[in-house]
Amino acid sequence: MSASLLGQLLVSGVSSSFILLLTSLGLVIIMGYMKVVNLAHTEMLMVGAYISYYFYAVLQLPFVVTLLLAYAISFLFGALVERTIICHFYGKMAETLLATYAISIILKQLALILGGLSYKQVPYPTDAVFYIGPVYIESYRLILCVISVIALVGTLIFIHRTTMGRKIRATTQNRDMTECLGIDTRRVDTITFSHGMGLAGLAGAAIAPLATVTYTLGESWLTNTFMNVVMGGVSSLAGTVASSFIIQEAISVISGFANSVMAQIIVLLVVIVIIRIKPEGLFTAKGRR
Amino acid sequence: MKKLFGKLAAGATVLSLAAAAFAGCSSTDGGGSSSGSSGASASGDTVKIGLVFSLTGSTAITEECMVNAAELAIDEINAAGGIGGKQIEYVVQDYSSDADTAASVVREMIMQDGVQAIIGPYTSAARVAIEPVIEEYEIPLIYPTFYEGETPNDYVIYTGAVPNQQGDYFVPYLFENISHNFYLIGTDTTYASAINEQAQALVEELGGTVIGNELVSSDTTEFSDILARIRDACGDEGCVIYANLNGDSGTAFYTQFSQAGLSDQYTIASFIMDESFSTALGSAAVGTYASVNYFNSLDTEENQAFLEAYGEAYGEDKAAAVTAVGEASYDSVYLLALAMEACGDDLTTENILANFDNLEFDAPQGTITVDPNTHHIYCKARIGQVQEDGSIAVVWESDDVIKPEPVQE
Repeated sequence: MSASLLGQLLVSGVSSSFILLLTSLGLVIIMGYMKVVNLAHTEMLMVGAYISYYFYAVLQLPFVVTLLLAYAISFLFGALVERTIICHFYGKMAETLLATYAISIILKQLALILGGLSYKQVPYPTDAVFYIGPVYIESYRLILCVISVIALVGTLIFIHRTTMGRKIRATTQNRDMTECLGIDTRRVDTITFSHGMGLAGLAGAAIAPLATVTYTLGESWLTNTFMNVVMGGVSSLAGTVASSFIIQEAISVISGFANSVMAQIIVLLVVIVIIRIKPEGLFTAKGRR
Repeated sequence: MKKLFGKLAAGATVLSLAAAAFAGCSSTDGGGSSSGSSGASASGDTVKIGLVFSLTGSTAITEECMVNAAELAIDEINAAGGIGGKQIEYVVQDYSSDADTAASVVREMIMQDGVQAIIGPYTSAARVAIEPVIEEYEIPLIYPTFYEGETPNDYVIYTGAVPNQQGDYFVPYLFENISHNFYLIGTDTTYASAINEQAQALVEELGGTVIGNELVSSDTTEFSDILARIRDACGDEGCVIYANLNGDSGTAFYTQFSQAGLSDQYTIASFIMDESFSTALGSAAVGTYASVNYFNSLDTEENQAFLEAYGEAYGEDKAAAVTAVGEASYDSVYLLALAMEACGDDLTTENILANFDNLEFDAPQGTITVDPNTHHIYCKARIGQVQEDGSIAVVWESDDVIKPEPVQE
C-alpha cells in the first residue's frame, strides 16, 4: 500500500470517525445517563434527515438554522415521548426496548406515508475539495467534524458545567438521594432524554447530504451506532469518542489491505473479543450506580 | 451491567419474534380497488390475477412504479372490455422486500384468493423463493425484472432483459468509448455478484484491466475508504466505475463520488441507474451511464401514450420516474391478457403458458416477442446517459431485437 493511500485512508477514517461519533452521541447519552436502550435512535436520525430535506432543500432556510430546528423539533418530540411513554418504564429494560422499538416502527411507517416513495436529495451546503499533497478531504466532511465537536463539547459543558448537568449526574448516581434534596428528577429525566433525541435529530440533519433521504435511512446506521456505543462502554462519553476512532480508522486502514467487507468483519470480531474481555466496554464511567 | 446484557438479549429475541409477526401481517390487500364482484368464482365472468410487489421495505421505492404500471394496464384492459369479455380482478400483496414473505404471500394468494396467474416480484431472491410455490400449485408467474439469468422455470415468463441483452453490449461500449480500466463494485446480492462476475470475464476477454472487484453489504452508506482506493488504483488514467449498488447504498455512492470530485476523472456506469435515481440525484448522476432495454425518454407512440396515461393516473413527476421495471410490469399484464384471451373458455395453466410462445406485443419500448424455448423476451439493448434534467437519453441501441440467452455458456 502506498503512503498516499495510507494517508488518504487515515484522513477519511478521521472524518468517518467524527460522523460516527455525531450519530452515536444521542444514543450514548440516553443509554448512559438513563439506562434506556433507545431503539428509536436511528429512526430519529432519519427524522432529522427529513427535517433537513424539508427546511433546507425545500424551504431553503440557512443550513445552520436547519440544524438548530432539527435539534429543537427532535428535542420537543423527545420530551413528548418521554412524558407519555418512556417515563412509565424506567428500570424495566425489556419494556423500554419494546416501547422504543414500537416508536421506531411508527416513525418509519409515518415517513413512508407522509414522505412518499421517492429518493429525496439534500444538496451539499459546500462543494469544495481541499488537497494536502495527494490527500484530499471534502469540505463538507470537515464541516461534519466541526458539528460533531460542537455537539460533543456542548454536551460536555451542559453535563459538567451547568446546574442542570449536575442534577442529571446526581440523578444517575443516586436517584432517591437526589429526590430527597428536593430536585424534580422527572424533569431531569425529560431533559436528558430530550437532549439525546435532539442530538439524534441534529446528527440526522447533518448527515442527510451524504446520501439521499428515504424512510430506510435509519437501518444503515443501526449496527454501527450500537456497536460503537457498546464497545465504548454504554455510560461513557469518552469511551464513545475513543471507540468511534478505533472502529472507523481500523475499518478504513484495513480496507486498504483487503476490502471494506473484510475490514468490517475483522473489526466486528475484534469488538466481540473486546466485549468478551471487558463486558462493560473499553471505558467504564467511574462512580456509583 | 452483566444483567443488563442478559436482559438485552432477551429483549432482542422478543423483538425479532415481534418483527417476524409484524412482517406477516403487514401485507395489504389491494383487492378493494379492483372492479367486479368479489364473490365471482374463477370460472365466472372475471379472471383473477395476483400482483406481488414491495409496498414497504428497502426496495419499495423501485417497486412503486411496477405496481402502478401493472394496475394501469389492468384498468386499461378492463376499460376496453376485459379479457374476451371477462373483467380482470386483482389482489396486491406486499412482500416487504423479503424473500420468505414473498413465498408466503404468494401461497396465500393462490390458496385464499384463487388467483390464476401472478405478476411480480422485483428481487431475484424473492423470485427464487416463489418458484417452488408456483411449481407446487402450477400457477404461472410473469417476472417483470431484468435479472442475471437462470435455467428457465417451466412456470415463469420473464419479461425483463437478461445479461446477453444488456452487459454483453454495455461493457464493450464502455471499453471503446470511456476507458479500458474497470473498477467493479456491487451490493452483495445474487444479481450484482453475477453481473460483476460476467463483467469481469468480458473485460478480460476484451483485453482490458479489472482494477478492483468488490461487493459491499446492502446497508453500506459510507464510501470514503472505497473512494480513496478507487483514486489510488486508477490514478490519472480514466476508469469505468461499474457500480451496481442498490437503493440507499447506491445513492450514497453517487453523491459521495461526485462530492469527492472523482466524477471529473472517472465515469460511473450502472445497471441500477434508472429514472427513479437520476431524477432524484441531481448533478451527482449527470454524465453517468446506464443500460437497460427501456428508457423513459424513448420516442415511440406507445411510450408517449403509456407515460401520458401514467401521468394522468399518478402525477407528472411520477411519470418522469417510470423505469424499465415499471414498463416491463405494464407489458407483463398485456402479454398475460393476450395469452389468457387466446385460451378462450379453456383457461388452464397449461394453455396460458403455451399461448406465450411467440406472443407479440407493441410495448412502449418497441415490439417485444416471447421466445418459445426460454420464455424470455426478444428486445433491443440500449445504453443511456443521464442528462442535466435528470432524464436518461439513449446514446446507443442495437439495430434489431436480440435473442434472449438466459443461460450463459
